[in-house]
Order: sequence, then structure tokens, then C-alpha cells
Amino acid sequence: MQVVPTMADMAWLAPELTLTVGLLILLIGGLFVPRDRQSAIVWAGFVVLGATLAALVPQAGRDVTIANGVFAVDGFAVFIKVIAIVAAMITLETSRHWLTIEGVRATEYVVLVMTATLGMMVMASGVDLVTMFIGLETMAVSFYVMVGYLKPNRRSNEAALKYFVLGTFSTGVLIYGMAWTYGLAGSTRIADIAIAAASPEGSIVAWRFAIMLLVAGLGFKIAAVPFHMWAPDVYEGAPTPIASFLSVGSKAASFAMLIRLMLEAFPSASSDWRSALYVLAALSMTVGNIAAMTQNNLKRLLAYSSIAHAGYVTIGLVAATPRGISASLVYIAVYACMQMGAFAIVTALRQKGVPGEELHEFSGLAHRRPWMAFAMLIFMIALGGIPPTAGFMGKMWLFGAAIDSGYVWLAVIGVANSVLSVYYYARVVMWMWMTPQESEAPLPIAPSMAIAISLAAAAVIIGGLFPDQLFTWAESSARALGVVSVAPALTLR
Amino acid sequence: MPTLNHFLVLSGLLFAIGTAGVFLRRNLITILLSIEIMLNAVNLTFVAVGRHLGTVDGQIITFFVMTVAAAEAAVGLAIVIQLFRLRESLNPDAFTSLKW
Repeated sequence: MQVVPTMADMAWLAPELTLTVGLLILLIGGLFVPRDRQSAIVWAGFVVLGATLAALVPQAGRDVTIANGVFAVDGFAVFIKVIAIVAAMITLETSRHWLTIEGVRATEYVVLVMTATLGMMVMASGVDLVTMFIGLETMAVSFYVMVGYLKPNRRSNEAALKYFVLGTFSTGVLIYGMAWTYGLAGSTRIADIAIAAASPEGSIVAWRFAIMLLVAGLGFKIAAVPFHMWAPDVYEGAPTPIASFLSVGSKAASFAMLIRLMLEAFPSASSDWRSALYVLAALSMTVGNIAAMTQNNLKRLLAYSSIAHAGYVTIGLVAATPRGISASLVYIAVYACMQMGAFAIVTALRQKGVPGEELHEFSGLAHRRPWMAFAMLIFMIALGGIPPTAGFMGKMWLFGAAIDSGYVWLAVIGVANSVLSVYYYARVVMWMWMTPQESEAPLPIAPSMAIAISLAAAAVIIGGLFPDQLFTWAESSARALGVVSVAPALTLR
Repeated sequence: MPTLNHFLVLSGLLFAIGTAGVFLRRNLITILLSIEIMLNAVNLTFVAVGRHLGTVDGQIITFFVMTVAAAEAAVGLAIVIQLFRLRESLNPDAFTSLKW
């Protein structure tokens, strides 16, 4: 057995190595950058992430497992990695102006965004429980620090504490599930676990226990009901760009891990985890949307909306067909654009002495900044799932996949929830257009912010008008998962 | 001679004690310790299972879990110290700026 990583293996790790070397150089180099030149660090971080994205290009369409079978370079991993890296780049761009308003140091901030991205990339590629766990923790520990980055701010600190306590607790649950899986399967490799689970030795109850622990642990990370209670508070207290990165990057990577674990490690137990995820999806959509209706803080509203969207994405995994998984992947990508765009506008409203988070602070935005209000309108109708946006196409595929697999009622719950959700997204639009503006203060927007918002809005519209490209890419990515077609009747005997 | 089941029951008990501690205790330091108990219950499971299977994997994974636990404890204590400076309290019920 070859244990030493060969040079060929190292070549496959090019994106991760680029990012690691880049962030280490930034961490040390940042010490020598004067305080008034902090913007240079954000640029450097942006360039390193760009280089990482470029290093990912040759891996498109490949399917290999390296490093002694613990690290997969396949279409599925590449898809998630692209989302994670682009989300990190948008986070940096939207943070540039915000960092000067808050007056915090940029170096650690940029480096932490990059370490979190590195964790997400390892999560997307891990095909071994330990690799996945290390990736998850690299990401989570970075986020604990980032959520509490505004040290003198009480809310930021409280959010960090809450995220830390519930995050480490969920880590404990997840790793306990991994310990049981390891004990039952005799290996931590996903491929070996699948073989062991196909003809399970030992108690079926123990297998179910292990799977439920894994689902619960990851349920926390994707903020699915009933493991969602941290999300609104953490998003509200966290720095706005970080809340946006948390709701998109962390969720996408955790979904990648959940999808890979369920489909590749436990295809033989599909009826068990499908019924568990069915309940999670239905609860997340309903609770998330109903709770979002009464929120007056935009960040809390988006938090509940992100809980609901975790429910929508789970529908594809419940269907567990190639179509369902590719619909989930499409929706994760679409959700990333809508959510980051909406959060970017909340970040843009943050000015000296103005929090810019409450709904009433959006009053009259259509007169103060017409194009910004228009972009927000696009994000809101996309999140609500109204054509001609990508949000509509994504939902259509998800519900279609659910009906194909015989989960008609889940699709009905999903459609009903989409209708419900339009109410609170429309509320935001009402405030922007129908109410007189409260403040006459100028609202300067940094060019980088304007570009990020415009790109996200354009992506949402283009994705809605010409969705075929994205769907084809997602379909080929989903095909990379070996055992994507699981027969619905299979179960643990 | 203790068998695998003895170890599993013990680690299950430890895990349950840790879980109860996280939700029932009203002191942040105790909550952090409860999380450590949970992670150590996991470590015990890994080592016991590894021995039962006759591989060293379980013991190696334990080192990964310990490393992660140390990183988490460092960050967690930093957050608690910062909060204590702002609030002069270690009771999580005192932190009410956000709706808990």
C-alpha cells in the first residue's frame, strides 16, 4: 500500500496548495502592510482566490481518487469548489468598503475567509470520514472567529458565542456518528462503508443510530429545522459579509458532504435517510417561511429565508435520482447568487453611524438609489421563485424531480411554501418603493460593491432565461457520484 | 475483562453527560468542559472500536479529534474572555442583545 503522497497526487491538489501557500504568505506579509494600505491585502486575497479558481480549470471533467483513496477530484467536487471560491471572492469584494467603515484590520479577515474556503474545498473532495471532518472543522473554526470579528461589538460577540457552542456541539454529534460508522463498517473510507452497509453485520439499530447522528450533525451546519435555532441570531450578530458567506459557502460545502455521505456511503440504507430528510425538508421550508414573515431585521429575514432554502435543496436529495441531485446542485448555485446579492445590498446600506439592517432603513431606496433597489427587486423575486429568474427555474427542477420520484406531497409542500414566501419578499419591495424615504444622507457605494451586486443580479436573470448551460453542467457533475441512481425500495434488511 | 460493549456503554454515558451539560449548566466554562467531555466520549469510542477491529486507525483518528478539540477550545476561550470583558458575566442567560 502506497502511503506517501506521490508527486502526481500533489499535482491533483494544485488548487488547495495554491490557496494554502497564498494564505500563508498573506498572513505573514500582511504584518508589513501599513494601516492605510489595507485595501491591498483584500486585492491580494482576491488574486490568490482567482489563481485557485484557475488551478481548478484543468480538473473539470476528471474523475480520480488520490492520496490513498481519501480525496476525490471529480465533477461534483469541482462544482462545489467553484461555488465556494466565487462566494469567497464576492465576500472579499463586498467587504472592502465595509472594512474601512468598521475600522477593523483586513489581514486576519482576508486570511480567515481563505482558510474557511480551504475547509470547504476539502469537504467537497473528501471521500474519507476523517478528511471530511478535518475540512469541516477548518471551515467551522474559521467561521467562529469571523462571526466574532467585531471585538467591541456585543452582538457580534454574542453571535460568535452562540455559533461556537452550538457548532461544537453539532461537531460532537457528527464525529460520534462517524465513530459508530467506523466501528460498524471497519473503515473510514466512503467506498468501504458502502460495501459494509450493503450487507450489514451487527445490529440494524446501530446502523440507523449512526446515520441519524450524521444527519443531525450536518443538519446543524445546513441550518435545517429542527437544528436551525442558531441561524437567525448568528446571521444578525455576525458582520454582514460574513453572514452572507456563512449562509452560502458553509451551506454549499455541508450539502456536498451530506450528499456524498448519503449517496455514496449509505445507498443501501436510502429508505431510512430519505424519510428522515423528507421530514427535515418539509419542516425547514414551512418553519423558515412562516418565521420569516414577522421579521423586521433584514439579516434575520434572510436567515429564515436561508433556512427555508435549505429545505428546498434537501428535496433533491430526498428524490435521490440523478435529476434530483443535479436540481439540488443547480439550486445551490442559484441560491448562492440570490442570497449573496441580497446580503451585498444590506452591506452597502451600512454607512458610518447607520446600521442599515432594519426594514425601515430600506424606505425610499427606489428614489435614493434606483438601480440598487432594482437589483434588490431582482433578488427578492428570485428568492420568491418568480419567473423569469433563475430562482424559478431551480425550484421547477427541484419540484419536478420530487414528482418524478413519487414524492408528490413534498412537491406540493414546496409549492405552497414558495407562494407563502412571496409575502415577505414583497414586503421588502414595498418598503423600497411605497414608503417615503427616511434619511436624506448620501449613500456612497464603492465601485467593487456595485460590480459585485450587478454581476449577481445579471447571473440571476441570465440563469433564468438560459438555464440549459447550468443544468447540463450540474447534471454531468451529479453523474460523478458513482451510485447516484438508488432504487427506492432498497433498505437495510 | 472489559469487552467492547462495556466501552461503548461507558462512552455513550459520557456523551449523554456532556450533552446534558451543554443544555443544563448555566456557566460558559462548564459548557465548554461539557463539550470536551462529549469529544472525549467520541475518542473513547474510536480507541475501543479500533482495538476491537485490530487496527490502529481508531487511535490515529483520536489524535485528529484531539487536535481539533484543542483548536476549538482556544477559539472558544477567546470568545468567552472577550464576552466577559464586555458583560462581566459568564451566565449565557445574561447575553440578551440577540433573541436567544
